[in-house]
Amino acid sequence: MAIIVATLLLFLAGPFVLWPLIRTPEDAEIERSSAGVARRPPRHTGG
Amino acid sequence: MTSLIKWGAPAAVVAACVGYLIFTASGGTGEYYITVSELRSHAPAGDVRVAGVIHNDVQKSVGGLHVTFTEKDSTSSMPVEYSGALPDIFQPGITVVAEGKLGSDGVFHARTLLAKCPSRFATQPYTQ
Amino acid sequence: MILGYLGAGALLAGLVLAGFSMLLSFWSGARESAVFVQVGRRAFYAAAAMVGVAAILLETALLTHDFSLAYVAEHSDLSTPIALVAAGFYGGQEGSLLYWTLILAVLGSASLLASARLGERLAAYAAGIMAAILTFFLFVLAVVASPFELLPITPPDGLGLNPILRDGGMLIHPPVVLAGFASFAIPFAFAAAALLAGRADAGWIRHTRRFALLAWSLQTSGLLLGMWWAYHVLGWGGYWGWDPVENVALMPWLATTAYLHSSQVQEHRGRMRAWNFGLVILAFLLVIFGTFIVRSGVVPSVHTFAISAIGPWFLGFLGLCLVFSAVLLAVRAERLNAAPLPAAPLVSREGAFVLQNLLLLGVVAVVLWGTVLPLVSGMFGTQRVVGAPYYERGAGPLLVALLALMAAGPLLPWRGAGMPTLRALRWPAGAAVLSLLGLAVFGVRSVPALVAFPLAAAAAATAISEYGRAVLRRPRVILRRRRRYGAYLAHVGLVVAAVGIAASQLGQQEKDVTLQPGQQVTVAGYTLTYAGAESRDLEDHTELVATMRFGDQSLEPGRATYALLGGQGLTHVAISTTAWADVYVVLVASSEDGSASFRVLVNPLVSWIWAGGIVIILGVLLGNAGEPSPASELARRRVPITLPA
Repeated sequence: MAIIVATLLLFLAGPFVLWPLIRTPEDAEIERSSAGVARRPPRHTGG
Repeated sequence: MTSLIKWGAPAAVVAACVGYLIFTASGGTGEYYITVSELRSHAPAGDVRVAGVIHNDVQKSVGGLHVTFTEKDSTSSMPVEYSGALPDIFQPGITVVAEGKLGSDGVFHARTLLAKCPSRFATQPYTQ
Repeated sequence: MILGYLGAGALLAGLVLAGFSMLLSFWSGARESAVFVQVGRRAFYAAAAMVGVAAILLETALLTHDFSLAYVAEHSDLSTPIALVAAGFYGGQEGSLLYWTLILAVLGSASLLASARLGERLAAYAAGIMAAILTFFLFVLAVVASPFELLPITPPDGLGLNPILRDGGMLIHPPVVLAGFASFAIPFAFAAAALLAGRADAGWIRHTRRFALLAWSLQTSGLLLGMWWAYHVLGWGGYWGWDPVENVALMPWLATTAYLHSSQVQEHRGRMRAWNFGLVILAFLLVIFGTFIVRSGVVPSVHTFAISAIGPWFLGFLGLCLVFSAVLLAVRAERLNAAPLPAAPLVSREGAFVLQNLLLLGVVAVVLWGTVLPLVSGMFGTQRVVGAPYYERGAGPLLVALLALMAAGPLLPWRGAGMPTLRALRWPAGAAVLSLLGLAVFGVRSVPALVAFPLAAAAAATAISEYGRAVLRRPRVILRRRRRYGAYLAHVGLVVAAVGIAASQLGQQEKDVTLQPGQQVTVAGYTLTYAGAESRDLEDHTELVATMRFGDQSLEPGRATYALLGGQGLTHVAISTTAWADVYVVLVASSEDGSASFRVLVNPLVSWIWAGGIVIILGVLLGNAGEPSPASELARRRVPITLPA
């Protein structure tokens, strides 16, 4: 019984623990900008 | 004068002092920690600490400041007399450590009584 | 019942996550693979969350009186006040282990969060080591001593808490001491990680020191609370019995005290690295050793501990940590030896710190020997034990020497003593001479007193003179060098506490007496009159209360009897505290003829111990709140402290 509970909890924890592996580059960009790193604002070309 | 001698010498001196202190301090003040049976069979010289269980013949006098009882382990027992305040949980059946000397009258004259603190960590199996 | 399954599951999940974190952190640290380092760290946080869940479940089970759990049935009952039911969480073997693991997990997570930017490999190794320790504790909790064991039949009521533990001290003392023990793992992990990586920069060292300070502060508070509880509740008139349980709490504290001081040599002169690593590691090893000693029942103690199954596991873990630490220190030893600055002369602040380390280690050796003597002697013949006189005679001279060092050390410059030092030493010297004269005039003849008190006065004078010097020249420096002046304040607190300890040990007087109502007893010039006794009926016990008139005060020592627990008795001590002395009255018994027997003690200056303790904590808090950022610290120091890469 305890093993079943443990397995369920591990499944819940899985995404949190493995996040650095499963995130896409876009997610990484969002994380970096929200951390306040100074970036050049995207250039707006005309038109 | 190399660094080793400069720092090593004081260290050695301190270490020697500590060793000396330990040696002299434990020589005179150490006691034997034995059971009732061991005390009965061969009593060491000097003060000892004897661990045993209190039998149910506790007698108090002098307003509760003097007590005599029998301390026993699985095979032997001995009478104990003690003057002073008793530990809180002092009652027949508990384990007590008496510190003192076995007198020529066969009675153990205890200087100190230490009762084991109620277990914080003992897992007493729960019985009905 | 369901709480039991959920809790066991959470512990198991935590065990898996901690083990995973340990393996991945070491592997990713060796590879310096940033992504996997992060995964390993997150696994640690997740394990910590599991421990938190388990803790919440256990507390819930206690508060809802879920007696299907053996632990709840054994440590509470329906009549226990709710605060003490909650405190049952850390009152028993399994629960206290869970509490310890919780602190380890929470502090470990905090330390990892704070250190994430300080160096990838170091952070990974630190995570790995902390995860390893967490894995061990979770293994013991999940497999060997689970708080979530279920009883075959749910009983209607529990066994309840023993009366001696039904006191406010029970709420505060154990959790602080347990937290202290758990927190020594953090500086150990960081120091061992630095050794493992072969690198440690200034930021890393400050980080280690900060967590060592936290552990030290917790342990100081825990020791003081324990002394306070023993004195006010246990009723034997003392506050320290040199019992193994007390000794194992003291030893890591001594080692960490040494570390906190000698780490300054590393900061200022880049030296004594081997000492510092060794001391931090020693503190942690002493904690594990102490846990083994007190939870395995191998040495006699007034604190009963069942010879439980966890003893051998802790011994094994201790062996593992010893081997790991020894190998680490041996292999990395040569890397620690390159010293950027040459050694200072013996009579210098550096020399004083070396001497301090030696003396404190000496005290550890004395206490350690006394604690293990029953175990060692029992293996070779009849078991021998030592009592308070051994510790006093063995450690006393060393502690007095430390007092003298506290008086001289802060005044010694780093590069060596000269004329200005001699001039500065006139303050402590003068204080010592004055107090010596004062003692002699008052007729004090005991040699320990004539040595200890003047040295204590000297140590206090040094700290105060430093404050005076700062106030007269540049008061601002007190705020800018907060760590140093906070430490001086802590020194003053320690001196005050030391004076309190010395006075109450050397000057205690006691008398056993039986009185009829109206009769008096006089001890050390204090006179008490016995007015009478009465029996009171309370919630779960009856209490016999005697009234002693002391001046215009009424002291009410009592004896409680718990009928529900087989007539077990409990002393309620009555204490009258003034700045000069405590009058401490214990009701021993009463007779039908109306007489009552008492033990009356007069303990001088006990309140100074508690006051001094508060000042120590205050000094540490004031000195370390709001640390400056690593960058500005590095700019201030001109000494490189990096180990060669």
